[in-house]
Formats: sequence, C-alpha cells, structure tokens
Amino acid sequence: MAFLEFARGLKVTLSTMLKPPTTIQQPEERRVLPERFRGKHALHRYENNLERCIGCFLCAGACPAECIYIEAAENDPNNPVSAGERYARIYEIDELRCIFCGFCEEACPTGAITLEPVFEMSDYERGGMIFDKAILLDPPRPQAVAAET
Amino acid sequence: MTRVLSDEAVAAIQAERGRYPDPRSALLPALHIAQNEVGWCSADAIEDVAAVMELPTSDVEEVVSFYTMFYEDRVGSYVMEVCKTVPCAILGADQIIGHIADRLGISPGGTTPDGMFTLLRVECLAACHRAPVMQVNSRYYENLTPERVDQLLDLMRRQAELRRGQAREAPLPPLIGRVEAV
Amino acid sequence: MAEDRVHVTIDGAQTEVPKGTILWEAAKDIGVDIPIFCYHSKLGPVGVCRMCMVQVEGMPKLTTACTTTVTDGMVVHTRSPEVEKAQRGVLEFLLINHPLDCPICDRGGECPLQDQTFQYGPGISRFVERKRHFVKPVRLGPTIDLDRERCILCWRCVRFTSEVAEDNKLILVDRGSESFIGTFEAEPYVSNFSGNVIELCPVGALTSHKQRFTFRPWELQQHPSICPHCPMGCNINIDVRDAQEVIRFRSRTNEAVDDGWLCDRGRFGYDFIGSPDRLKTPLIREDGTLRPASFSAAYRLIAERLQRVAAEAGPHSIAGIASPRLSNEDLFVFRRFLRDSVGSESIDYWPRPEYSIDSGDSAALQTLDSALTSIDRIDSAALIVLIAADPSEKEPVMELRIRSALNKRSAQLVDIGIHDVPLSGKASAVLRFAPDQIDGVLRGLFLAAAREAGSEEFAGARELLDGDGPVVLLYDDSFPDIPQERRRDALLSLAYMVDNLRERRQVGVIPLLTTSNEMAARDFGVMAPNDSGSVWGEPLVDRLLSGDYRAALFWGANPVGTVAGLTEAVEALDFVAVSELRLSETAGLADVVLPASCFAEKVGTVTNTCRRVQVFSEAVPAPGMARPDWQMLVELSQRWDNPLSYASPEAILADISGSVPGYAGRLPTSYRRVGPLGVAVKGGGVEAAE
Repeated sequence: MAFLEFARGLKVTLSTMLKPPTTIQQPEERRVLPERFRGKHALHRYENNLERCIGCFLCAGACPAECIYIEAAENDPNNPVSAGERYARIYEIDELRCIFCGFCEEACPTGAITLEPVFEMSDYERGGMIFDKAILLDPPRPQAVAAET
Repeated sequence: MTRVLSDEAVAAIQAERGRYPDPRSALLPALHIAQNEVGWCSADAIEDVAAVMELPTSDVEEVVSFYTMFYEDRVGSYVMEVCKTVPCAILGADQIIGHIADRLGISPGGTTPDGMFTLLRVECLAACHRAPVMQVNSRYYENLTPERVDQLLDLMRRQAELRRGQAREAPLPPLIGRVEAV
Repeated sequence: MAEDRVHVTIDGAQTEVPKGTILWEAAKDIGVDIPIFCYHSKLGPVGVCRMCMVQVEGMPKLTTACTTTVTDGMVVHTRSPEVEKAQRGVLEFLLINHPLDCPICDRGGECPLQDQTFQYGPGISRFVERKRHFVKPVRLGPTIDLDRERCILCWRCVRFTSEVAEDNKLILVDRGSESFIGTFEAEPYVSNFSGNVIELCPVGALTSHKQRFTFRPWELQQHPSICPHCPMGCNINIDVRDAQEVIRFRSRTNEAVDDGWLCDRGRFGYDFIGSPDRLKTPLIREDGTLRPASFSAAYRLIAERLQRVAAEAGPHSIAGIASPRLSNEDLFVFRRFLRDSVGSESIDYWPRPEYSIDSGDSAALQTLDSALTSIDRIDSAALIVLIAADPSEKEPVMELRIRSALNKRSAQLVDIGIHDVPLSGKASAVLRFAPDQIDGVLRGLFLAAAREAGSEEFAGARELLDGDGPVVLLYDDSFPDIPQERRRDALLSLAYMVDNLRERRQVGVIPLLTTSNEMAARDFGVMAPNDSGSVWGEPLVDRLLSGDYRAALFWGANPVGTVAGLTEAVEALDFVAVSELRLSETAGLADVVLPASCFAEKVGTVTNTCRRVQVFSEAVPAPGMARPDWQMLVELSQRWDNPLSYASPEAILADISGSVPGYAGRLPTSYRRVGPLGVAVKGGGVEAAE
C-alpha cells in the first residue's frame, strides 16, 4: 500500500517535471497583469489639467479598511484646483492598510481615483507607505486644453 | 421721517390704507404712488413705503420683486416692455426685442446711457390677438414689425426733443394710440 | 366619543385625534411616514412643496396632508398608485433645477431631498433642458452660505425669520420660475438665531459657513448634551468625528426647555473645546514661572500650603471661588471639599450679582424662590412681564419662546425696564423709568396711594396686571442697568410685587441668570452666606480686595482682569491654586494650576434657570492629563483628615439627590433615570398653585 501511495505522488512529479516553470525572474522578467488588476492608486486630471477629485469623502466612506484620509477645502474661483467649488487639500492613502478591494474606485463620482496595475511598492519606513497627492496625482499634461467647465 | 417720498405721497398712501379692511392690502397702490413719484422702487422708496405702511421692509421688497411692473432698477423715460409669452414669441417677439436691442445698443433689462429708453421682456400683456405687442409707459403698441418699431423709436426721440424745447415749432406728433394709426 | 375628538383611518389603521389636527401629524402619530419638505411642526402649514399628496376617499383629487385638517370618518390612503405617481412627479419637478452636486454638498448624507428621492423618487429625470444657474455660493451673512441652485423654495427659512424669530430677514425675491431666497437689498443676514435655518433647510441650500467642507454627516457620532453658554439649558447634540474632534452642535428638541431651537451663541460656540491653548498638565510655579508637573506634586503642594495657612490663620482664611459654569457634581464636591475637608466657610461663585442682602430680607428670597416656574409655563401664560430684563441678550431662546406665546396663544407682554430691548416692540404696555427708580416703580404699581394718584405712565401696565389668567415674570437679578446701591431694593420690590400679584393671580417667576449653572451654585451653597446663613452675602471677590484672606482657590472662575484691583489682591495672597481649561488671567497669577476637563469631556448634570436638572455626556476625550474638577477635588481631599470618597460622578449625583433641599426625593440617583430630557426639581410658582 505504501508503495502505491509513493507511486501516485511520484506521478505528479514526473508529469510536471518537463513542463516550463510557472515562476518568473522578477524583476528581469515582467508578468503580464490581467486588465482589471487592482494595485497602487492613482488620482487623475481632466483634459484641462484640473483635478478630478472634489474631496467628497465618498471613497473614504466606502473604504472597508479606513485607509483614506481627506481634508477638503474651497477652490479659489480665479485659480481652481478642481472643477466646482470643492477640492481635496489633503488626500492620503495608507497603502499598508489598503486591501485593494477597489471600492474607492466604485464610489468615486468623478472617476478621479483608479487602481493601477502597479504592485511594486515598498519602503524602509511605514510612514513612506502613506501616499499623498504628490505621489498619487497624475502629473499635469504639458499641453493643457483651455479650461472649459 | 421719509427720505424720498413727499408729504403728498405719504398722505395719498395713508388715504389708500383707509380704504381697505386690512391696511396691508394697500401695499400695491402704495407702491404705485411711490414709483410714480420716484420713478422706480429704490431701496429708499421701499423703506419709506414700509415705514408708512408699518410693514417690514423685507415684506415690501418681496412684493416689489414679485411684480414686474415695479422697477427694481432705475429706468429710462420710455420703458419698452415687450411681451415674451408664447403667442408673441411665435409671431416674432424675439425678433422685435433683438431689433430694439440692436437699434439702442442695449440688451433686455438695460437702459440707454442717455437715460431715455429701457428695454424689458415681460409676461403676457393680454393682447395676444394683435401679437407681437409692446407696452411703452402704460400704452400698448400692437402688431409690431421691425419697421414699425423704427418708426416708433423715431417718434419717441422727436417727442423727447420737443419736450426739451429744442424743436418747439414742429407740431407734436401723436404718440398715443396704436401703431397702425401712425 | 368626546366632542373634540375625531376618528380617521390612515392606510387601514384607525386612530382618534383631537379636532383640528393636521392630517400629516395624525399620520405621524401612528407611524405612517408621509414625505414632506415645506411643512414643519414648529412653522405650521403652507403647502408649497406638494410632496405630501395623499388620497382622501370622497375627494375628487389628491390633497396635501400638511394643509388638510382631519375630519371625522376620514379615510386616507398614503401609498396608493395615484399617490405614488404624484410623489414621483413632484420629485421630478423639484429636481429639475436641483444641481445634483451631492458629492460636494455639505448636506449630502443627511439630506431630506436625497433620502426622499431614494425612497419615493422616479430614479430618472426626463429633463434635458438647461438648469437655471446662480453664482454659488453666496455669503448670506456671517454664519450662513446660500446656494440658490439647490433651493427647492420650501420657504421654511423665510417662515422662520418672519414667524419665529420675527426679524423678517430672509425673503423670497422675484417670482415663479425665477424666484430665489435673499435679503432686502442683499443686506447680510445677521440674527441671533441664524443657525436654525441650516437645520430647517431640507436641502443643502443653506449651509454653515463655519463648517463648510469640513465633514461629511456619516462620519459623525452624536452625543446628547446641554448647551453650556447660558442658564436656559437648551438641549444639544454634540457631533463628533473619530471620537475626538467636535465638529458641530445641533439642537435637540426638548419641549419643556428649548422648543427645538438653538441660538447662534450656542450653535457656534464650541471652539474652546478643542482649542490648542487648553491646559494639558498641572503647572507649578518655580522661580516665578509656571512649569509642567505631575498631579501628585501639585496635590502635595496645594495640601501643604493650605494646611500651613489653616494652621497659622485658621481655615476660614482660605477662600474658595468656583465658576457657575461647573457641573452640579463639581460644585457639590467643591463645597464639600472646602467645608468638610479644609474646614472653610469662605465660599462663593463668580461672576455673581454684585450686591448682598441681610437676614431680614430672606423672606423676599423665599417669595421669589417659591414662585419659580418652568420655561414651558410661558406658553400658557396670559401675561408675560419683563422686569429690567432682556431675554434676547441673556437667554436668547427664551425670546423665541415668548414670541411664540404672544403670537400663538394671544398672551400679552408688559415691558418694565430702563431701555428698549428686542422684545419691546411686542409689548402691549411699556413702562420706562430712570435707573434709580426701579423700586419705586415696582411698588408704585401696587401701592394704594400711587394707584389713586393714577400716574399716567402706570396706567397701561397696571390695567394688564389687574387682569385674569396666569402671569409669568422674567427678571434679571444681577440688575445690570441699576446702580449697585439700588439693586437690593430692586430685589425686595420685586418680591413685594410678586407677593401682591399672587393675591389674585397665579404668578410664576423666571430669573434670567448669567452663567449656565448659577442656579445649582446657589442651591448647593456655593455662594457667600449672609448673617442669617442664607446664601446672598457680600461677594467674596469684594472681600478679597480688603485683604481678609491668606489663600484662595479659583475653580474655573476668572475674576482677575474683570474686577478692578484684584490682581494686586491676589498677588498679595500667600497661596493661590486654580483649576482651569486654559491659562486665564487668574491662572497666570497662581502658584499651582490644575488642568480641568470641560463639559464635553465628562459626564454630569446642570441645573437650568428654572431648576430643571439635565444630563450631559462625554463626547470627546479630555486633552492631555486634564481631569474632571470633581475628580481632582476628591483626589486632593485624600491629603486631609476628612477625605471625600466618591468613586464616580453618579455617586455624587446620588449624594445630591439625598442631601440638597429641594433636590432630595425629586432627583433620581442615576443618569439613566434622569433621562435625556431631564427632570424638574423644586418647581414652585404656577405649578404649585394649581
């Protein structure tokens, strides 16, 4: 009986021995991520470079891990940060606490936040894993479309 | 003490108050008296009326803002109120308004810099059978066309000049009455 | 069935209500929810929003539940297909010009329009045309931002200013599809009560300027509490974020006290709670400067120095001055600490009325005290009398209560005072006099000689006082406009007036005190006694100036800087200990300063101006090491031979309920049994007369 068990186990070994390996040589090799992969967050802008985020707290409200911190403020009408009256003066995500469920993306009424196919995030300090707008926000487009809101 | 209303106007408003079981009902006649005297319902005029009527200024302001025949801004000598409601609109009220605006260089709601004309869009003037229609200082001008408006504007200008005594020898053209008669 | 009751069937459920009940209220009573925007129980029906459409059998068309009074045998359907179609239609119309900017709207999350659209709305809009646009937001006044695009023109705010506050500040400008809310000539909306329109607004059109964009409603936890800014004791909810940050105060309806309103002083007066200058540790003076120290070091120093002073000059040379802002528990323990542990009878509160009365005058105090009535008695009064009192300044919500009594219940107002107050315009009779004539005037109203002499200016007031029905008198016993030497006479004349009036009418009095818990300070004997032992002796602060004392404890009280010459007098003392929220002028002169927690950081009770005891709860943690005053006093007392032994504020409450005259037997021994709306203790006046 013991031999039969042994042979059965060996069968698995022998049948996969000559197949190509599943592991890859990260980071020399890159895996092709599925299209809807949920990784690092990104905050986006409109064509005219205004931020999409309006600081509405809906992502923070939806977040089951409570990893999003926002402080909202009023736009200066002459020099607005976002479209409308309100923008996020502070927007921080604690990536260590985030469970990458994507609820924030679902809750967002302006399509400001998305989860990007980026998973390589690390730091030597926990504080460094709290991403603020400087990290999350898309850089402004060089050729901004004239502001039209 | 009133600021802009004369003693006669105050007395007239007081008389109106006596005519109604609830003195508050005299607010519309009171405002007409004030507007006739001041020319428009200025803040001072509203405060005066409120004081005489013993009402809060805000109540009077509500009434003034509700009725389009009370002017909340200074108006010209000729207030041209063009009907904007459906039958007039179908028969070209917008064209008439646009024409007047072009001729006078003002937009609806505006007054010419010389203080002569004010152009306003108003609700139905109840003369739909002769649309498009316009009311100038409480008189109706009906079946308007751009040409007739031109005629009318010229007439009004001439009349104003006459009033200023610059062309005293010319006969006074009839301004009262329908445009067909002109 | 009684004559004045009618039967109505709403959605199959039978109910019996008083005649004249509004259909919406009748439905609410049996738990049938009819959606509304414009109707509000305190404002009365207007019927402009059309949201409360219901079907009444026998009526050809749908009718509005908020303007229909119930008639006998009425059969009402609130969920029939016709009604649902009407509700969907009304909501679609209301949303035509509504911007749907819920994500950036401060009301989003607690918005009746949002909620009812979800519950009753059509889900989609067929309106494809351009919505009307306004500049948004406009600053309506110092406290309110107005977004006219969001407004659904329910008139609640307009009706509040014209019917409740009666300042007629907000108006509906223009008409029809172009109407909007504004003020006369765009003047700023300045009012004592402006904050109420934020809560009344059923959409996000009127929002708080101060709290703009600082929070979302779903982040907040509510803690029932009592407004600490005046002795009216309006009920509030403290809304807190993350269990540590006070975001706002909101009104919490207590029909017996505030009638659902809150003044701006209460609504926006919360900055002191989370202020960065709050004391976080005890401070001890070393080499002339106050340095942080531990509690045990601070207690040790206080005990050593006070015991030394007591040994040298007797315990009565130690003065204790408390703030009438402290809770009942704090004040009670403060008095027990001074009397039982330290052994001093030199105790008072500050600020307090700046005059004293003698033992012979105690009967006058008793007269006034026995006539004390409750705030809701104003509603049933036939006559309201102001005696040198300005409710709008002292207890603003009292003004609304009086206005409501005058308007809805045809009470009359007599204003006896030195100068006009906001309520004077509502008075049926006004009696003005020179500041030093108050006693003559109050007595003259009842003296036979003056009656016969029939002085003209008395006639109107006297005629009203001679009428029938219950009277409520409001007075300000600090008599701020009366010269100091005449204040005692004023109080005695007032008692004389009450005595006389009581012979033929029910009389209730309401004192307009200055500080939130002043009534309890007097009840607990935290007020310098006169020669007969009843509380109303010479203010202790005045006696400090004469140098009779060697040491002083200031518990929350900050008289230095207000009382002339007190700085030098306090500097001359051997020892000064202060318990405070922040480094006040008095604390700046102290040898030891203890960090106290404020009303939002502890559990306790306060007694309002009509002796209603109400509970406040802990909403946020105290900053740093700050502790409740009662706790510090109990800990401090352990260093004396007669220590106090209270383990919790509830134990103190039980002691108050067992030992304070008037509270004993009426005040429950637990906070739970005092309940969210409080209990009245020792109610006299109209209540007792009935």
